[in-house]
Amino acid sequence: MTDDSDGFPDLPEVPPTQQMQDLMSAYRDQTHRSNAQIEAALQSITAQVGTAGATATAAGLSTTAKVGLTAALLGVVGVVGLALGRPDPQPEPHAAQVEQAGPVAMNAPTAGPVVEAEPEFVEPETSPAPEPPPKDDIAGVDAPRPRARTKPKAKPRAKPEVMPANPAPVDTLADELRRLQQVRAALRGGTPARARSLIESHRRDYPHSTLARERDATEIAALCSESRDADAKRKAAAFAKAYPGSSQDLLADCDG
Amino acid sequence: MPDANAVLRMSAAYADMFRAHYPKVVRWLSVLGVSQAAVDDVAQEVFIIAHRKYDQLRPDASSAGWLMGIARNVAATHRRGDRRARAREQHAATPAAAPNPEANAMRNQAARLLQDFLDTLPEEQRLVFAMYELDGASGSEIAETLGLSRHTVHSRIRLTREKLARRLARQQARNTTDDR
Repeated sequence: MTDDSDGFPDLPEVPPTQQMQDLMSAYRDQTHRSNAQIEAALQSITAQVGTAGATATAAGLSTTAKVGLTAALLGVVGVVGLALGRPDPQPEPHAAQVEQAGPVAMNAPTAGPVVEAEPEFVEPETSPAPEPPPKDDIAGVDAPRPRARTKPKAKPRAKPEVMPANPAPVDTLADELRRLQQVRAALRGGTPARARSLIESHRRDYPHSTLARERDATEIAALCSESRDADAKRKAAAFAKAYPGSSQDLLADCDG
Repeated sequence: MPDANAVLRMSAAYADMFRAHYPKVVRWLSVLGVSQAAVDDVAQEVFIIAHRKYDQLRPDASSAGWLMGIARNVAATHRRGDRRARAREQHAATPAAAPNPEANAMRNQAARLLQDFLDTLPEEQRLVFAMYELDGASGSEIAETLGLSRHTVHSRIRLTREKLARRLARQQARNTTDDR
């Protein structure tokens, strides 16, 4: 690395490949917050710090309120279960200073935190596009960048711009994703046997899939759905061996 | 008792800052490894601390850099307890209420793939990545926010892209070799 040389016009450009752009776009989508969600979060903050600049600390932020916010923002009941199951992390770094000046409106009902907290105002979903940066950009990395938030959808395949060493079809990943998505659909649709047969064929076609972990986890979920708990447990043990360090609760749908 | 007008002004300014930066803080926390199940709560903590310390923010200072400092600290304390939640959410069903569950599942998988990659990078490199590739910030903005030289920013971006390209290429190569 020649970090300290002056000027860098000669550095090779590494424009993002289509595949990279797809991943980034998916990531951007997943972490995107709509205006309505931002306003809901702001309201929640305002309620917690009190009005007009009163100070309150996050120490006063009860777990219930947090879960409520998560539910409101994500609208995912399943995730609430996870949040509840999550061991509460260390005392907040700032827990020591509990200054409570001014009204602290804690909207933390003790019962039914999940149902509470629908964001009251639902604005039309106008995504706040990242503000375009001034074009004083650094030489070399001015390569085209995905600016717009695009849904993962069929798009014209881009020329593989980078990594000429490997002319593999760019759409391998897209195909894999599409097929795993069918697997999930089958699972959700209450046809776990079909899900498993799709998984089998996926495994045949992509024995070393990037998404193998995802696939294996889904297979276990499918076995659970079929009440084949013993098989599921066996696979879960193999999974733990294959992906050490993964603490995924694979048997959540079993049980048993 | 602070002057009421000053308080009001501050609140409006705070709200503006919140609106401008909340989505970014969510992304920064995400690349730093906070799970999607927890990220909104953690972002909220960042902004509660920011609210408490708001009068310490110099008018000429970059609020992005200031918030990022808070976000890094908060993320560090959260990551420890958060690993399990993250592992679990990979398995979690996609939102039932979502208009298009299939697209969501696909999107989540792709996002996870990128997260796995980001997890291998040092913190600063992740943040450069987030600002450049996800926020769409310019090199100078990133340099200022992170207190790096533009050259360093540039080389981090390049290295990260190269690394990601290599990783994806490796995976594809494996797939094509073993394919049928």
